[in-house]
Amino acid sequence: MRIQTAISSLALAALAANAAAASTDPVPANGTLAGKVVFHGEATAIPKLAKLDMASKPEHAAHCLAASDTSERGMLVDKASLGIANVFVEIRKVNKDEWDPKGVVLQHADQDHCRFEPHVLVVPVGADVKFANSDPFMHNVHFYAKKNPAANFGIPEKGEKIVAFKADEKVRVKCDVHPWMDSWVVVTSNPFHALTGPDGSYSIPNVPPGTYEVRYWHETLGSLKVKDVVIGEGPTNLDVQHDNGDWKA
Amino acid sequence: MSSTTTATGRRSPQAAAELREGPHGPSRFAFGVLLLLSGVVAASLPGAELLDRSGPDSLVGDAARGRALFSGRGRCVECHHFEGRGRQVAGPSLDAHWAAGPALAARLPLRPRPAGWREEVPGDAYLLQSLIEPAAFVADGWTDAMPAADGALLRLGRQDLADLLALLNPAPAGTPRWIPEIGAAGPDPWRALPHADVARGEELFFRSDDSACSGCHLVRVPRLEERFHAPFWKLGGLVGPELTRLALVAGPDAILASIVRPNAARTSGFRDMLLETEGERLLTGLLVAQGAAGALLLEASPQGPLFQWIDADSIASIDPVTDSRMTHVFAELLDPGQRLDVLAFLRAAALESAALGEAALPGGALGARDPAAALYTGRWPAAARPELLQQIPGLFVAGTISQPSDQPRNP
Repeated sequence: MRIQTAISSLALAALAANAAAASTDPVPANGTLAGKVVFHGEATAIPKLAKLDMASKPEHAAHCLAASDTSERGMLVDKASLGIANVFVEIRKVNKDEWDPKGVVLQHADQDHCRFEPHVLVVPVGADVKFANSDPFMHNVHFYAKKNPAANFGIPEKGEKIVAFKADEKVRVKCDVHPWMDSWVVVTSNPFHALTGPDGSYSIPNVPPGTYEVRYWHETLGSLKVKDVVIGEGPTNLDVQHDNGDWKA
Repeated sequence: MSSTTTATGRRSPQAAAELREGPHGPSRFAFGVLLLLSGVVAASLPGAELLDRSGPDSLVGDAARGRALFSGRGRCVECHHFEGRGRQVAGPSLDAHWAAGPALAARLPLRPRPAGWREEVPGDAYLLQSLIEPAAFVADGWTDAMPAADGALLRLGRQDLADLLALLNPAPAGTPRWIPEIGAAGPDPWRALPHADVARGEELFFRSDDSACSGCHLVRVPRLEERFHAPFWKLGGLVGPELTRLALVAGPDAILASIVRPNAARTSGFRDMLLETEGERLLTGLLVAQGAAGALLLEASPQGPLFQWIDADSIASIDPVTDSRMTHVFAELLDPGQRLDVLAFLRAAALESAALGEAALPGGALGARDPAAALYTGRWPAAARPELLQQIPGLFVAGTISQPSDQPRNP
């Protein structure tokens, strides 16, 4: 999961760099927005992650329970750093005219040991996204979406299907055969984005200097807007806490 | 005549009935006399035997059509092996049991021909009975999983049966075969199901599995409340229509179609909703209530029905989901025999509920006893507040969603 996200970010960074290089005006050096989304409080106050009831489908239980991780993922907080994973961060209203992600990245979403991997997948609008099934039995993929067409298709064992999303949206993805299988596809047309890693950190490189609004989205926390963020040349740090009063559930 | 008694010495109800009406009842007796008379008349008229053989009850079968039926509309090939085709899945190989003449000859005396049946090709009666009354004689080592050939599932007609006989019990071309009237017992579409297993269907319906029917559908009869030691509203999920009396108003064909193609016919009021919050969270479920204060969503969960209250000022939009949440997966999860078992359970539950009368109806006296009933009968007041949910014992309620200014955050 981490490797795929990293590849995606590199590709996007390269695109953003190309976009900047194509301009003929003198260009100030681009900056980087980085920071952490953290849980505010003692480590003992971190919400406990419930174990999934993966044995509840008896004929698949042995295979499902062999998953490396059998807990809920709605709120992943790292005990050491208190970082919150899977927060989608984007810088709004940056010039992105030259960014055309269509056909650029083949993302990969797998159904492996009755989990969607990764739990949150960020894909550019129009990019091909491969949904695969590594398990020895059927899964289905059920999109809950408003701006993208709703879809619900089965994937036989070891099968795959390639789809593309046409509009910016956080799409909820479920499997009806194994109801605990719940995940998200964040579709974006904004190249200036990142997804926080397991330690809650994120980094968005190659941002033209300016004053922007930064948005955070998390499946459980909701969304948070931070306005008037000044990004200059070089690094800019912006940390946020989970109990900042401006989060909207 | 000696009366039949049970081992405890008490007279069984069946024995009491026989005492009143004789061993077969008056109607069967009269039927036997008629048969006897017609036999006497036919035998005494010249040419009667020829008339019988070409009469309306006899049909000429076609083996080629029978072969097409075997692997096509008749669906025999799904369970039986014959002529190198088909899997020996749920029934015996017909090559071994049938086409080998000596094996058949050895079996015939085991099984008396049904009363009133004629047989123009030896072995036809055995086969016919296997086709239209499959439970009457089940081959060793197999269960009575076979649906009746003329029942609601397969719907074979008399000519179809003659064609199958021509394939499975060869005779010189043009040989007429006696085929009984079928479906004469009346248009009861449930006739095909006596061989499905109600208990097996009940286990499938309630199996401890998130993909069980009971994850989304409620079937409530007092017997099941006792079995599971649970109030009726915990017997099943509520995001799909209650099925308690479905089998009284819908036939097996319609129910089967709904299992295999849930999108084909949807019940109004059970549309999945997509609720987006101001914070761009996406919640799914059935909209139980919506009023000025907020909305109440109902979702299926491994623990049972799960309710979630969302304050009005946290709701960005509520939209219907276009396709059924049931999807097509049940066509894959239940094999054809299991679907029939589930149908048989639904039929039994419907008859059981009907016998209890109005008290067992949704929203009837049974429902009114329980404060949670309002949630399940669509009578949750639109002005209700989420606090009411807390008063219902045993209800699973996800955290209320509201803006930080209203309540302390609980991530």
